[in-house]
Amino acid sequence: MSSQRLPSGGRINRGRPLEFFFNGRRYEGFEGDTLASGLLANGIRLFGRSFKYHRPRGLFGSGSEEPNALVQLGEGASTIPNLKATQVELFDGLSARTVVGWPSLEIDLYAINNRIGRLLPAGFYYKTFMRPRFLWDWYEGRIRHAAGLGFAPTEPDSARYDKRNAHCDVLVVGAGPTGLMAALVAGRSGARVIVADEQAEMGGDLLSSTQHVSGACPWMFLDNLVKELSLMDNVMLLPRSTVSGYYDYNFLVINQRRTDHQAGIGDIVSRERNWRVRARQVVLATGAIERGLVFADNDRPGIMLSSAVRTYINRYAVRPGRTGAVFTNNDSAYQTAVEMHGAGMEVKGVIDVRQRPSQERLLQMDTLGIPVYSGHGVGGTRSGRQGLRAVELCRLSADGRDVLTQKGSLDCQVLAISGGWNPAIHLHCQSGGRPKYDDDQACFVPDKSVQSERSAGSALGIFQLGNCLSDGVDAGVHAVRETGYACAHIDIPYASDRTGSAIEPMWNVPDGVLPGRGGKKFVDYQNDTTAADIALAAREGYRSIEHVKRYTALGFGTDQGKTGNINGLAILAQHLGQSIPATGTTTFRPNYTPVTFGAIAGRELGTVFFDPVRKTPMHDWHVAHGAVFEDVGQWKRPWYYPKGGETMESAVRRECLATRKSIGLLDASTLGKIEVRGRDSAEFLNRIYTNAWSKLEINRCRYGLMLGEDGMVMDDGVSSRLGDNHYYMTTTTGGAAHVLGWLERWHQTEWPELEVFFTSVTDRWAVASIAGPNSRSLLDRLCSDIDLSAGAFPFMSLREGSVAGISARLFRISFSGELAFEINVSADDGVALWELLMEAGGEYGITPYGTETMHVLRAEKGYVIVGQDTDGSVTPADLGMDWIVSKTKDFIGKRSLARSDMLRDSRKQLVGLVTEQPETVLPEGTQLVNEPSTDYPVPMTGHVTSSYYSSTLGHSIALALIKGGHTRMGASVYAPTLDGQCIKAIISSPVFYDPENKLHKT
Amino acid sequence: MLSIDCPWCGSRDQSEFSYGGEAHIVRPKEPEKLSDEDWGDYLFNRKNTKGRFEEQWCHTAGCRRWFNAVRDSQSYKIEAVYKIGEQSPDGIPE
Amino acid sequence: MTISGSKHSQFVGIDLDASFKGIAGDYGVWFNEISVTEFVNLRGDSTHSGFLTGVQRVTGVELPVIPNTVVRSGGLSCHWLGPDEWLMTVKKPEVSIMQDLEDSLSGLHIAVTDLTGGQSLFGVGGRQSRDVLSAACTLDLHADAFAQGSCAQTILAHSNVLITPAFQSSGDCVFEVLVRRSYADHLIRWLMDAAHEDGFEFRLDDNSGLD
Repeated sequence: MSSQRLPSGGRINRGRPLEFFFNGRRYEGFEGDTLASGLLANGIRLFGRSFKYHRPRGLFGSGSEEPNALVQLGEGASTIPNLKATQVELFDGLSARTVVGWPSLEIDLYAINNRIGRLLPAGFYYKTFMRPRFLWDWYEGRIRHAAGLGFAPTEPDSARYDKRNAHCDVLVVGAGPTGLMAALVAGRSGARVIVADEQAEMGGDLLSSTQHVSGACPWMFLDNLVKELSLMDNVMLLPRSTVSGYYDYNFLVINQRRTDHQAGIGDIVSRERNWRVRARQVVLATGAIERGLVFADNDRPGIMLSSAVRTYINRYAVRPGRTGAVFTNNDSAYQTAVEMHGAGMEVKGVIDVRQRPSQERLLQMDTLGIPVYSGHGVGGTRSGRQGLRAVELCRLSADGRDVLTQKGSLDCQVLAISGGWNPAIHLHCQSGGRPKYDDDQACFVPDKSVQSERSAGSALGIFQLGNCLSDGVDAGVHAVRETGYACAHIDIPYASDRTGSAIEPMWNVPDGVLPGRGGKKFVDYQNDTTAADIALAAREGYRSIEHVKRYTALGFGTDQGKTGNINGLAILAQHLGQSIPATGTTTFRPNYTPVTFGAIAGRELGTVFFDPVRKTPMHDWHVAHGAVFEDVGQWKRPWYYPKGGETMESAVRRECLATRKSIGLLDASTLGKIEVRGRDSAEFLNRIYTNAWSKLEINRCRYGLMLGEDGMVMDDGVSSRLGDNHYYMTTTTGGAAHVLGWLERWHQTEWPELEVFFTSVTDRWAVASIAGPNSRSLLDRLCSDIDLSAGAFPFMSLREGSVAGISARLFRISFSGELAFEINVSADDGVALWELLMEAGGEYGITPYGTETMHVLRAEKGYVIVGQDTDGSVTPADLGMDWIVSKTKDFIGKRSLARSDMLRDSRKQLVGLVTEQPETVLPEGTQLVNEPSTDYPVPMTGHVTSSYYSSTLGHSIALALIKGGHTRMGASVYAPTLDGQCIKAIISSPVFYDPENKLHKT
Repeated sequence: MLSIDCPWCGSRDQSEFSYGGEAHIVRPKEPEKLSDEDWGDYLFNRKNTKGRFEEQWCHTAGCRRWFNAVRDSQSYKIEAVYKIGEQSPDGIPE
Repeated sequence: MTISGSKHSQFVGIDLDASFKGIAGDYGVWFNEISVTEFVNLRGDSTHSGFLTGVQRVTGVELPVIPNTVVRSGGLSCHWLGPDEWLMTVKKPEVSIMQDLEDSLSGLHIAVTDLTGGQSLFGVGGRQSRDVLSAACTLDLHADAFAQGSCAQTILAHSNVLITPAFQSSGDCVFEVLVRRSYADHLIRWLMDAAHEDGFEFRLDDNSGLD
């Protein structure tokens, strides 16, 4: 394949040749090339096969609008599917392959679809493979294989992806001439500016331009501009950064690609960075995207957007072919004819659908010896092995709707086409703005701004360079003023723009043959949607563009129809006999271009960074002593401490027995702790808890239950009175933050007149709980300043003193049913206390236990855990806890307890369950039925909330919520299991151990 | 992602706040005197306003203060914020 | 090198030798412990003159009533947390203000709560400190928006924190990050990870800026 590289020019670095691989073959390019330009320079014109018909396809565009040239980049874990070759920067050793084509790009067996294309209209798959339903899975696999849009890596990607939050006064989206001028004004004025551009280099259209600015060549102008901006501390330039979404309150997300253009950078630098920007003002200088023309067989490799041809020639110094022609309905493509001529291509002509192009253009072409075929169209194309070979000329009627005569053909390898320009209004529309149709320019432009944004330059429908430069300045001035800065003076650069004649819309180029007979007229290349598909949709009754999109796939895919959508909706409008604005556009949603899952996840992955891990002061001791941890909310709590290869079952059995027989030690630091202070503390607690608090004596503790206003149990815990107007509340581990918020909310919004303050002290205290018959004896050895006797320090009271010299608050409360002390010390002393207890408790065989043993011990006593035995639909009465509900005072939730539904006999009530087989442990959560019936559906009567094997009792125990359970003591229920068995259990009291409540009071 | 003006801390990211639903729902003084229906109304029934809507927010990760906001439920724009106990700029609701 | 068992260290269990140089060849960020001898949470009514003077009598500083500001004087910092809530930090082992505040404010509706041991305070400094914090914090940390004398409660790496910028005479800014003790280990690991590109080191000196 001969080199198509021009001998000079371009923004490539000829001193840095690069080698790269495409479909396994080796090629050479230069630094500054994209994969697309590098391949084009090597004479490659075939880049892929189309999605449905498997037609050969070449480059159509030169940037993110590219619909055809999709590649799979790299191998293994870091491979990325469906990148556009036009956006992949070359680096040494790059390897890519096409995504469609089986078994290979050149010989694609699925190309048969093209021959039978008449049988594959819009909706074909829906209509054909719907039945029989069971075959769909098979069909789907075959269809996906045939369509093939690359493959996702199967191994985890080892690259880092990260995020940054940013704030700025002015975010400039797009670093073309408009955006750079806006940034310059804002930067010089001292505003904090971020400039994001999706390309590797700042400059936008200036990079492909030969038009002088203020008398200088465009690249010199550009280099000076970018240099000045890059030296400003208040300006951040983000190349390779796509603003992918524009959300409420000027919150925008930028996806920055940081390493994919470099080889061997390692994993230090993140591969992509997700910028989350809050901007005070946004300048949308996103430019305009050229659209194609819809004519017969308009998809041959070599048929390209006019702007892309210009870009390959000027920016990359690549000649896309030896011979070329231009097909247009507007003035802009004439410049492409000039550039092709300048690049040494033989330009066979400019085919202009307009009857009267401007004199200035005609003169310009005449000077270069390029014939202009005005009032003509392309009626069809012919191709050879390497794509386009010739185009067929037709003389069009004055209204452009019919072919008058066939005028022979022009042999050419390249056809540069231009159907006009679509301002990139995507972000404007995402921000809440509407599109407005501009009849004169035949395109949608931004309507009123809804957020603090302003579109500028060609994004606003301003297509001349000089006007863009001055509009960029205007946009910058506007943004600077709105953010309160004094605006710096700036000289507006000038560019001599040519005058010309207006665009004439041409949505569907006639080919002079009967409908359904000529070549396919592609509207959306990526989805193989044709003008005939849209016509069919209209005939079948589709009216809404949103429905037509979903029926024909118009505008889906990785390019989101950037080049084809407007042509498609205009064709629909014609078929429906209505105007383009009446037809409207589809909704513009984030993301503008595809964003990887890695970028969205960032570092918030895995067990380390996804959610905070909270650790108690004794955490490292637990780790050192082999604890297995359980997540309780964000906390890591020891679950059990296996010894020498113990199973969980045997460790828990050992821990339970040690506690019941001697002493167990639990890290209870995670319990929520709240100090309640103020004159109205007791009154406040009265309103929050179901029971009364006014008469609680100082240094005494009381168990309390909190309800939601709906009467359902919300949280529980023991609270104590420390002083006259001073209480100390504890909450469940998981409910701590919620309860504090609950107290604050009622106080701030409902009862601000009550004098009370709440302060969280959860982290301030380390809590070691010792439980078991020997716990007093142990404490006696360590504590000399508190009389620990039952008479002096009764159950449900607290004392302050010291334990082994550490200042401590001791609570005589028990969650195990044993004699127990909760020792609270400063978090800083937590480890020291723990180690002292372990050392002094050695002779009692003190045994640290985890949450599993804690659960077994409390279940043996029938103590509920809020959130495990309750689920937001359980009242105190359901738990058999009427005794804690005050009849005399109001409290949150009280009125709800008297609602008719709360008085139903058939409510689910908490009971104990004992299985018929003592060793059988019911699965937690299992449903219960009254009869072991197989006559499905069997009515459910309740479910198991907690279930354990009790080694103390020698049989399994369970807590369950059962309909009317309180009156069904001794009755049988059945638990059907997944393996088809039915476990029989007897309803009992939930209190299995020490029902007389003697032990913990000793 | 909203940016919310806390009456104390100024403009902060929505992630620092928690939502409290409709504002100006006063807890009945004597709940026991209410019928089941009236109590249920207080407990469960909320407006579903299209347009300006008074609602409660709490600057949970900041100053921990509850406050009221008038938010347009169509545009998501927060038109005003005011402290608990202050009157809504939209006046006393019917 | 690890600090083990040190009573007040929030870096217990962190391998302080994990320091490494970033792509720029230096330590873009450093972390240090800031030892505080007393953390006191104070609640009260700032519109009550007796309250303000009572606090000033003990601390020598005027309680900040402007939201999100901090007043520092002689080893004592007083941070605004809410319209009726402040956090005081004392960095002098010989000074305790807990009981003095209780005494000085007795009879008023106040709450003085000792949080010592329950809080961790560390410094994040260096050229890239702002950048690293912005990896997981939505607050605007720019010196124009977050100036000397400000402080803010916000979310950093999914944890509730109080951040206070301390500008040094060099113009560099050290961000003092206060977090509940149980979150400290998570937070420091998160920041070490966020500093992956810039490099980080642990500094053992307590040069926590202006006091």
